[in-house]
Amino acid sequence: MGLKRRTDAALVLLAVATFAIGWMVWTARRETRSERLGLTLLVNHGTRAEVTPGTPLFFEISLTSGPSSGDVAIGSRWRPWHRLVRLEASGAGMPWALTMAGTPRSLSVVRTADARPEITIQADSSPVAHLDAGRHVYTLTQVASPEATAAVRPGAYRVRGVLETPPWMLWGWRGRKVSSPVTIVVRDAAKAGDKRDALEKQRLQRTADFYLGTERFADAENAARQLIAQVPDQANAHVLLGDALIALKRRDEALAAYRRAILLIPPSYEEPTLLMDRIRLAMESPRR
Amino acid sequence: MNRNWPVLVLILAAFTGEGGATQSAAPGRVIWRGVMTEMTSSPSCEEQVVQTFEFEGDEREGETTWRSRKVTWNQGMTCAKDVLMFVDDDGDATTPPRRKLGPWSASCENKGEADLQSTPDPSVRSRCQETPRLGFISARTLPTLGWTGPRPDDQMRDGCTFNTRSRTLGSDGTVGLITVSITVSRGHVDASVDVDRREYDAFVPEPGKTLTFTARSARPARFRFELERDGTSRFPGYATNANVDDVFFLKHNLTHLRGQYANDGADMIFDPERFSSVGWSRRDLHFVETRAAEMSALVPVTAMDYGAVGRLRAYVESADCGGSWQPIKIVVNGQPRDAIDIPVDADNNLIADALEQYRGLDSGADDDAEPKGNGMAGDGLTAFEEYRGFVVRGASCPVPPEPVDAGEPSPEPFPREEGDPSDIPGVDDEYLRTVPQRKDLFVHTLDAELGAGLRAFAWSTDLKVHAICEPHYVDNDTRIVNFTLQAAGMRTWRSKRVSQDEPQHGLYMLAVDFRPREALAIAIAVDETPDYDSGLIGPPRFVRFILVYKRSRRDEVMEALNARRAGRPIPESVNYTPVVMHELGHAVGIPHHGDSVENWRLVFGKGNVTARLSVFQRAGLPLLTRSTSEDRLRNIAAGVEGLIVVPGTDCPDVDRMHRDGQFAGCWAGVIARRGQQNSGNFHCPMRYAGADWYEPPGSTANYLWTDVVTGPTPDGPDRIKVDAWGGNLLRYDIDRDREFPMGKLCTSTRGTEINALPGSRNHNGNVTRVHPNRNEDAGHDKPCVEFLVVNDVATRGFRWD
Repeated sequence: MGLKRRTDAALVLLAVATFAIGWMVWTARRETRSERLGLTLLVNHGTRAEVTPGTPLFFEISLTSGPSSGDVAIGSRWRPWHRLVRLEASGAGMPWALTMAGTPRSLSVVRTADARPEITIQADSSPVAHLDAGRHVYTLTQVASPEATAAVRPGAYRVRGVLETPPWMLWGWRGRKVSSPVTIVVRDAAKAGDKRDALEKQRLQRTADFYLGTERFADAENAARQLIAQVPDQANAHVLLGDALIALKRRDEALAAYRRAILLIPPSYEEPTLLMDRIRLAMESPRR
Repeated sequence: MNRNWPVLVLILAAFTGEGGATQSAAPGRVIWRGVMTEMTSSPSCEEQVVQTFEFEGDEREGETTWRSRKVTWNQGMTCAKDVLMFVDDDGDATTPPRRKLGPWSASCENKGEADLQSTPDPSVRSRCQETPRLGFISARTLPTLGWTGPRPDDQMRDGCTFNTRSRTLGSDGTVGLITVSITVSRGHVDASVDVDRREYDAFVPEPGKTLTFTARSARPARFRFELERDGTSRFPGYATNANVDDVFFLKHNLTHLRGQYANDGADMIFDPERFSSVGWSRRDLHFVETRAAEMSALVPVTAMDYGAVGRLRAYVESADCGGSWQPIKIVVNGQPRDAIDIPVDADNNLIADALEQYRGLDSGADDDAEPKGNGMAGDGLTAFEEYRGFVVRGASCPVPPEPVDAGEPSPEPFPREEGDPSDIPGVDDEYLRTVPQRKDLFVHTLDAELGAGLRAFAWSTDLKVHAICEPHYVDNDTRIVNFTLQAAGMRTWRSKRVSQDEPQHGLYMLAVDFRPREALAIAIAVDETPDYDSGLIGPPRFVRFILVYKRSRRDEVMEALNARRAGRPIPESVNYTPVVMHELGHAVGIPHHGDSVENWRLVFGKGNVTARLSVFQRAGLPLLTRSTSEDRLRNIAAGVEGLIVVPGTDCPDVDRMHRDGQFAGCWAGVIARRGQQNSGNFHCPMRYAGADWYEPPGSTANYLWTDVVTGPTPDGPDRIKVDAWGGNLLRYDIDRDREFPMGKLCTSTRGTEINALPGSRNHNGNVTRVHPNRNEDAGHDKPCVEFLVVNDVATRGFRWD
């Protein structure tokens, strides 16, 4: 009698377990198949970058869903969404080393009581990306430093973003999604012809920007000064120099650079708000 | 659900030709038709006669009861010859006339039609002329109709036709040729075409969507169906902004038509996949025919366009009359028709009646009323284009691999992803039909974070704002959102307007990582060159692209540094939304507070005082709508790096500026002037936020002098060339106006919040826009909402001067 009871209980347990596993697998498969995700990769804010060796590259990867997509969750506490995203190059591997710039961030659109969409951008977002009818965007930026790209052979390269879950990850969205590729054309500066000056200017501009972002301010100053030597009338070059100098606590020189910039700004319908903010902040900075 | 809806016979009753041998207890319809031609040629006369008849009746057991016996005839005769005639050429009546040979001619016409059944004695329209009048000829009477009517069965070939041809030659040289052709159609078998009435009424065309008709015959017969060439549309593409491509076939399960179906193919087809070669002998896209005689045939008609219009005709082949195809007469709502239109379109506007919101609209109407904006109704898209709909951005925008320069090695392609169709570019696109009562705006940006701002702009303006991808408006240079009809030059179809004379443009917004002119963002006008600012403002036709500066890692570092130094919390993030809203506002024609628009160009108000503008403002010069490179040179030559406010009160130490060793005033970046950029509704996204100083009510900033000042101490170290401005200016309460506004577009010029405070605390007051003729007192005070314009047609006649 007791044996039969135990057998019955075991059978019930087996049935429940089978049902539960089936439900889990079905749910996981359903999420994989029903939800369309968007993975967008941009390089230097575009889909094509033409550079010389030594120009840093900024890759921005965004994860979205379509307006008619349902809810989907990607990643987990143990495996955050941004660790499921990677870049891959066609051919023989990624030609440059990449590092994360800043922290991953999320953008959310929430409707307030008066139907106003309230948009917030949060740095260092939650490990799980919740995508829901296009109301969320998750973004991370990876960069290739000037040193990393300096050794790259001239040629054309294609890179794409990949979102892929490991096989053991049963919960949430599962599968693989790739972005459209971006193209990076690396030109030999000596053979760049008419483009040489423009490419060099770009290299210096992005190099200064990169060094500022990685808090290598002396290198940033050096790059900015080289840029000014090449394009003395470009307002942006003076802003980069001002940024480097203010970070190096050389307030007076920084202010001079910013003020030079304000003279050089081309005509525009919009006021140079950011530059005026820079001047204000520099004025408030303590002098050495 | 369908079970509750009986299949209704919409279209009924055609009568097919059947062999005379067919017998039926029920009366059957019989139609005898014939035509007789007779040509007679004699040496002096030519005569032509054409007669037709159509006798229709009911046959029962060999007896015919006629319903009608229609006949027509058309006779014509001309004669000319010389005849002997008596001529009184001396004018003397007492002498007999003289016989003389003279020319004579005559002509006669005799035509008419009659139903001998209802009018047994028809009137005849006959007219003869004779010159000279000799009475040789007289008007004709009813012609002989003895040849008309049924022929005995044994004279009918195959029971269907009787043909004779006879030639006569008279002794006087007269030649005659008579041909007679008579056919009989017997309708013992009814043929009909059925469709589920509910399905037919509800049918709205979509690529790949089918509507099935059923043809039935009371006896086995072959059927033929035809999509009438002139009655079936061939709109290029398959939606207002989408051409037929690989994704079209894939998404609509039409891959079997790849290579067979062209971009300008018929919009309604017979999909060969749905017509087996076993059952159908002909399977063209617009023409199908059953292989064998059947009692019925199912014919699915497949739409290939969201705006497809089609006209279906059906025929049945008589089994025993030589295979002639008889059209199946169609009765729709009691009215017999030759064909059936798909979809149901009782108001004849090329739009399916099933969609209520387009019912009764003229196909070419562009009357979108909301939001009212500048009063120009419409959004540049016709009701038909809005109904035909748009492909818009789905989860992401596909970007084909960028080409490399000619002569350079291409990078290795990625291996194709197996098993996931979502990896095919464009397959994630979504489709929508837009609302013809609400204005639509289309914006492309690859940047997902900037794209989020579109929702806020839609809310702010009450526009319908749609995110699209580059192929959805041709490309980022062309930007035409209704390109399918526009590119083909197709403005009308079947005399109905389908597209306007001018194209409608979308907007292109892109992120940049170096500041466009050090501003947060800017809408760049179409004809702008590096040295020349056209001053043009929306609608979208005039906006080449919108640049938005995106904060980089550098900015985060700089902000963290500055925040740490100032002992403030490090800002966590930057919201681009208000910047996106502000620039999109310019792209739809809205200027800054204080400015106006004339002939689509900006008319500047006096403007806030800034270092960049002060050189013009101090001289009392109008701020030009077009900033040129000369203006920039003038700025550089003036060398003004900043402003100071004199006498200056509440001056932080770092702002103290000295002249000749004496305190001279406070440094200023921006002096906000009454009625200008910072004025009006506090939450309007077109308003500027923040400044250093403001003009309280009753005061006006006035230029004092230009000189080099030192600060923050009399000894420097800062040495700045500044313009000094005075005029009882007060320090701006930046803590109350730090964030960029992101509310609704202002509907009034009245100031709110800091702009409505009492007394001298009132910062910027109401918006005071400059009149286009620069008369600021002319009351040209329009709120932002009254500038809004998305309709490119509004710029019709614009001159690029």
